[in-house]
Amino acid sequence: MKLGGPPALSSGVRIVWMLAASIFFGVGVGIVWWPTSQTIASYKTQAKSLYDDANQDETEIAHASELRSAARRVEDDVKLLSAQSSAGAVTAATLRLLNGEAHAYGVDVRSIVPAPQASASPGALAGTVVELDVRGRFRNLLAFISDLPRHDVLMEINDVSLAGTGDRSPKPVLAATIHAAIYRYRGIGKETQHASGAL
Amino acid sequence: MRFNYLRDGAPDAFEQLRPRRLPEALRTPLAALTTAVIVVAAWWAIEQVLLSQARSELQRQALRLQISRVELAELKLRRSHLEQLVSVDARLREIRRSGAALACGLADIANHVPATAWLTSIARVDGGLEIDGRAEGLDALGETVADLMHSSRAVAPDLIRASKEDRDRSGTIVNFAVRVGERR
Repeated sequence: MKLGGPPALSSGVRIVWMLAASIFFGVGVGIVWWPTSQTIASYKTQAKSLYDDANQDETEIAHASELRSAARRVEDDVKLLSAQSSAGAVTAATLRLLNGEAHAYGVDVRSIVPAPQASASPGALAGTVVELDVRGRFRNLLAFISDLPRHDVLMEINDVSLAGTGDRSPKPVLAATIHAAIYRYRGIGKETQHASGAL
Repeated sequence: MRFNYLRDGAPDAFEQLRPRRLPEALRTPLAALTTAVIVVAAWWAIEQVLLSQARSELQRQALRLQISRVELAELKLRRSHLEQLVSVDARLREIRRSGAALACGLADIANHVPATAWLTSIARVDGGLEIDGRAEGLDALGETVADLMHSSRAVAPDLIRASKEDRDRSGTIVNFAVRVGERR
């Protein structure tokens, strides 16, 4: 650029040009555009990452309804299978059951001996070990053993020992010692019960 | 303010602002300076709008993630509850089947005893069952052990003892005890 005029004016022109250029590049690019665009890019990257994470979470949450219906089914099943829950009711129901089953299968329940210690049953089930002394014919005993756990008392048959009674008839009476455990369903922990309520 | 309508229609105040008053050489750089200031100001305004949009989008996504994290935590709690329920359910089913499973095992053992032998006791011992019985001679005892080998519940029958019964007049009845392992 050729500048005419007095020297003071030409230097003033230069200064104005430099000022214009420095405002455009220094302020516009250096102060306004560059840092702001960097901040915007950083915000966008963070927002994208948060968006992806939230999407992933929401996909999992979308399956909550399936989980809810599965929990309901299992709860119903547990309710159906768990039978009596109070200790007194369990004892009464056990005695009633043994009497009924003995009549139904023609066996003689001679003794019921609860063990003093509770059986090892961590979690939701509280168990008491019981030893039953029963006499009857082989097939009757098997039917009795097979049917006992299917009623309103949660009884697990752990072990059976059979022994002769000296009966020499073709269908001899056998003495069976049945080791069983009677359980009471206590439910699950309080914090998970709370979650169950949220279901 | 004085107007000279014959010479010029523009008032003196406007006259003073005319570019003509600026030196010719300064007009272009000053126009460039003004343009630069205006452009940078507009640029700054646009950048501020874009920045505010990006910031609000970031806040929106952060809030969304926070909400989803809370819901996810509840979901995990529900899942843990369900796992516990499933485990209890499986245990309850096992308890309900226990009698039938044991009776089937005993019936299976009894069904693998030939007609020439009969059982007098079945008792649980360490790692299996001890079966006591009588057989019509050693052949019948051998047949009993061979039959027990085909049982689906008893494995590896092992003869513990066999002796002739003293009270038997014919002298053929053999008392025996066999130990078998249990197949689960």
